[in-house]
Amino acid sequence: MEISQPFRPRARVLQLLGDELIGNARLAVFELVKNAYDADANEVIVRLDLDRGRGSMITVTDDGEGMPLDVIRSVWLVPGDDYRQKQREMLQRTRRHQRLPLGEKGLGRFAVHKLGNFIRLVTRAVNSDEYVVQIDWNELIAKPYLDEAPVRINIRQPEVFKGSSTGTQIQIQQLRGAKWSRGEVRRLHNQITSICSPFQEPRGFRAVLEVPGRERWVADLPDVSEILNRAIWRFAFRLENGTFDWSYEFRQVPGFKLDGRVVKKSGDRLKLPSRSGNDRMEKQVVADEVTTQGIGPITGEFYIYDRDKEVLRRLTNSRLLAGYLDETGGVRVYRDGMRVYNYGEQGDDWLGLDLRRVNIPTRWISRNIILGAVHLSLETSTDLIEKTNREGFVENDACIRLRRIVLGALETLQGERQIDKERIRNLTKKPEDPTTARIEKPIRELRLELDRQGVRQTFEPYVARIEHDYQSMQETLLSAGMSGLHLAVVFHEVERGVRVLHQVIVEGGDLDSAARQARDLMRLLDGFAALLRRDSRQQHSVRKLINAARRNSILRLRHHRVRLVCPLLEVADEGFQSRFVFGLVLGALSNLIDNAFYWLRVRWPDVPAENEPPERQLYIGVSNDFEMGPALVVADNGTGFQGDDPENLVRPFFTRKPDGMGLGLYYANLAMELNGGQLVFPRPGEVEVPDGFDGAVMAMIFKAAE
Amino acid sequence: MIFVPPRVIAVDDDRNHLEGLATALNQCGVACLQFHFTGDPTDIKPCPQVRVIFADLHLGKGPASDHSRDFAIIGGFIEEAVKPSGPYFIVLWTMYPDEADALQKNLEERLEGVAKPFAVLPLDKSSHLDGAGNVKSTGKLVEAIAEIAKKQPRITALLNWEDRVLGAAADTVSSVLTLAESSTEATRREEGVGRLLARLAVEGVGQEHVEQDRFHAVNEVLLPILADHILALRSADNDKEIWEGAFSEADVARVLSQDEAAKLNRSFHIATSILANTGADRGVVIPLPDNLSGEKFALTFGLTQEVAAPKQFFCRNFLAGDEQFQWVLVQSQAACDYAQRQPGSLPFYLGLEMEASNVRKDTPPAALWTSPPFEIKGSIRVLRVSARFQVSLPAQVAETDMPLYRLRDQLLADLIHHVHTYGARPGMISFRG
Repeated sequence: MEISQPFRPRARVLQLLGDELIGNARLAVFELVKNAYDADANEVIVRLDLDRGRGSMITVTDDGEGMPLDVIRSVWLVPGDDYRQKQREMLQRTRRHQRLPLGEKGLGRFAVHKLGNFIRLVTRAVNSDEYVVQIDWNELIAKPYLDEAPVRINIRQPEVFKGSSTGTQIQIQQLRGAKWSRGEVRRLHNQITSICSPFQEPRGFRAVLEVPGRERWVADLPDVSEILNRAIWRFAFRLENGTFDWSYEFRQVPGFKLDGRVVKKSGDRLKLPSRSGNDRMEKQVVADEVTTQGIGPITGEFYIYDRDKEVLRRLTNSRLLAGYLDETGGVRVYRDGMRVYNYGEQGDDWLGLDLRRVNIPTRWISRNIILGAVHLSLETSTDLIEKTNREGFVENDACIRLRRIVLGALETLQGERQIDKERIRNLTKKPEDPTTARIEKPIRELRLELDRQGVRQTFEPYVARIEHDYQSMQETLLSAGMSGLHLAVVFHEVERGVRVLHQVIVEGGDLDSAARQARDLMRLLDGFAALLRRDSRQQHSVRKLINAARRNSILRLRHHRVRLVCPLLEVADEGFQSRFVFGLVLGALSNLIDNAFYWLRVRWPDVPAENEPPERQLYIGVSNDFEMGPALVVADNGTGFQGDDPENLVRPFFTRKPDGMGLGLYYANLAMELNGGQLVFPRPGEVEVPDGFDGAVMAMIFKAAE
Repeated sequence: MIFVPPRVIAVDDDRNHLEGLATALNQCGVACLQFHFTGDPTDIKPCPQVRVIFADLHLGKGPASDHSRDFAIIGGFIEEAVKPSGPYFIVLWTMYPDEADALQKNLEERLEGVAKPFAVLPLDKSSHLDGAGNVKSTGKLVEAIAEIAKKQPRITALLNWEDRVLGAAADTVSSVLTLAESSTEATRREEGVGRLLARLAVEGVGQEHVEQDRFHAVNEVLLPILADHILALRSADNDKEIWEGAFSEADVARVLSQDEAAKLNRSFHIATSILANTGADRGVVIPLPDNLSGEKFALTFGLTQEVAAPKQFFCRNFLAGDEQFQWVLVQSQAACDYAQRQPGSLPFYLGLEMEASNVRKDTPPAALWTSPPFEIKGSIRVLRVSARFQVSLPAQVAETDMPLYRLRDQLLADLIHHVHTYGARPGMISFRG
């Protein structure tokens, strides 16, 4: 015997859909606005009538194409219908504005339930009657099964959309959830104004919020364009088929005598950060055609602000700006000019901007100083699939690539920004003494918070080590009179890092990632602790040094197919002798080689086949071209320093590598100075290197042996 | 080298961390070579027989934004300094235990010319070191190390076997020394050992051959004693747990695939490291020399290859000149003659090496000996040797032939027993009514 039985959903399944899918009431409004966009509307007006006591009402009215009866019956009343999805797949655009539909799952309209219990939909299509659909959710879900809960459709002469007008109006009454407070209405206003990209508004679409009787609640909200005008930095980019065009602008800061600066590049390569914190083995360091596969061309704009006290106090109405940035800062994503939620919302740090700052707070841009937008095309971003719950895209390969691209673009911006940031700092900074930085208080506060959250045990080994290294390094600096070592910036950065870590944990950031950041902070300090150890200098030959560096790099030379050109190793010659701490100078040389590996891969992204000669070349040779002493010259045929000043190159935290800490050359310089030598960056022709080494050239100059 | 090379190495750039770890290892009864890493490339001699490397992740100095340099330093140290040739595992002694998998992946992909680690297992420094970098509790560190060993039961069992065999070798030396003339005087005792070694060497290979290779001469005599010591080994009480974890009952019950069996047979019975051998060594397999091949085959053996292969060697689909089939000679000199380099031409039996699929399945003639299938040059092959076809070659001629491989003792003994039993089979005239 066989019984055939279809599913019989309970009526409340519709309520569940709305509740489970949509995180908050504001997102529910967004769903309705999206429907208006898909209906080819010019304008959608969201009206909040809050002065009616129990009769408060939300009305969303658009002037779109409206719905004929068959669409109401076969699409609007059919949950999960694929009408829009099919339109999108077939690239079927709307008649008036040539839009591709944003909706695809046929569920968004059920979000309306999140807003209120009584819904009245009025719609009129061209040359059609006006239809009124009324849904009383309480009545509907009281029915045992969905098929026993009919929805009535009234047909009438047009009353709302008179004459030749068309459109859809949804009235929501018996509002649910928390009361619409001033703060909530202001947030809704910001959200509605951000539904369309401020930089690439979808053609002919406007979303407006009206709050009759409460106009003053939103009257003082700043105008977006005015806020954007107050940004100190502006960066715009486009990535298509591996070609990266960008422009950077540093605008004049009120009250500072600093010229603006503009840099533009076309046909550049976008440097990609590593895939994730756990996998730094990713081979690809620059974007190519494959990077944007299924994503399509990406454009973006970032507006960056400066919240340092010295800058803020020179700005007018800085509190308003700060408040706005606190509330709306972040990087948003738009497709065909329409917002993809919840990227850039408060509480969403999809790029991990705040967490990254633990290591280098002064370098990384936090969410509360950036207003950014990334634009995608709906037609070409086919591999980016929105989650039903409106919490971004499904975490697939394309989504990971998108994140890397945006971080890579941000890093290009940061690479330029650090130059101007330093110019501002030079005007405002006070001398920093490494022995005055104090870590006790931030560490104490961090421990208290870790205790409060019950995760002290996980973090304590790193915290204890940071505390110990920090204090013992300070003591060494004091007792050895080494305060001139320019390590102040490292101490202050670690101190800031501990504070940022504390903040991240207070704000409920991901604890595993936070623990990793704490560990990396510990390592940063540990890297410098070696500089202060009292290891004695001994006489060594440069051959031994090169041999050690070669051994340390041999796996990478082979793996990345880098040809090492080192004439000294080909003959029985020890090279020059000098007295130095072997490990420190080896560390310095390794840093130069590290840099070469990276920039060689940027210039020559493709690894040649086994039987082809490698394009990537690294030269390590000896030179007597410098007056100060014999030198070890390290050169490559990578991208070179791209015009950066030597002064910047050895400045702490200066880097153009997406994952770089900007400490490699700084450390190398310090290590050479501590050993009586120096690190220099010869100009072309200043030192002899073999033909073809047209990238970076650096020289470690040693103190000649007595 | 007269001392046993290190099996366990610990390397760290922080002396404090290194000593803490080494102390814990010593307390486990493990002799560990402590290696303070300074980057000096000339500071350690190769340890090809290393079995465990305790390595700090950050051997280099200076800040770095990722671990690729750290991995490369460890890899360079292993490849250029330690040069392991056998199985080993790395214990990553670090504050970054979750980098162990990435290190293993990195080394697996990038190490060349040396053995790759079986596993990279983390040992979290943050659990065992205090803020100042001192070991908090050696006892707990010892426990953690023991736990790590348990995570590698199979390799631990092999290491245990190696340790026991080393013990057996030590016992062999001790027992032999008891035969030396006893004396209370140290100088006299040492002279006594010398006289004993000389006597052993002479007994091993004969007085006139001792000088050709003194080690080989003594080895010939000590080998049976060592073999006896090893055969007498049984699980020690402390090691039972190790062997319990070495393999499961399911492993025991599992039937080997043809490939697995062929690989094991190769490993157990066929020596392919034959650089030290010549065609004159006992048990080697050499290609049939040109002067016995082709048309001269029939002149030497009395029938053509095309007839011999199917009729005498029970080979299917034989095709002369096809690389699938290789005529060979197996050196089968008497063991004592070989050990004592007795004069005389060297006896060889004719064999045919073929793909296992070309072996005829019907009952072969009693004169034919068949090896178990073994994997060589990427295919599964079988060697068939016939007691009916022998040749003799002068030693100086055979020495010029490059062996293909060598049959290890057990397999060679089986072959020689077979052909000699066949040869000793009495013929008898019988009448049937």
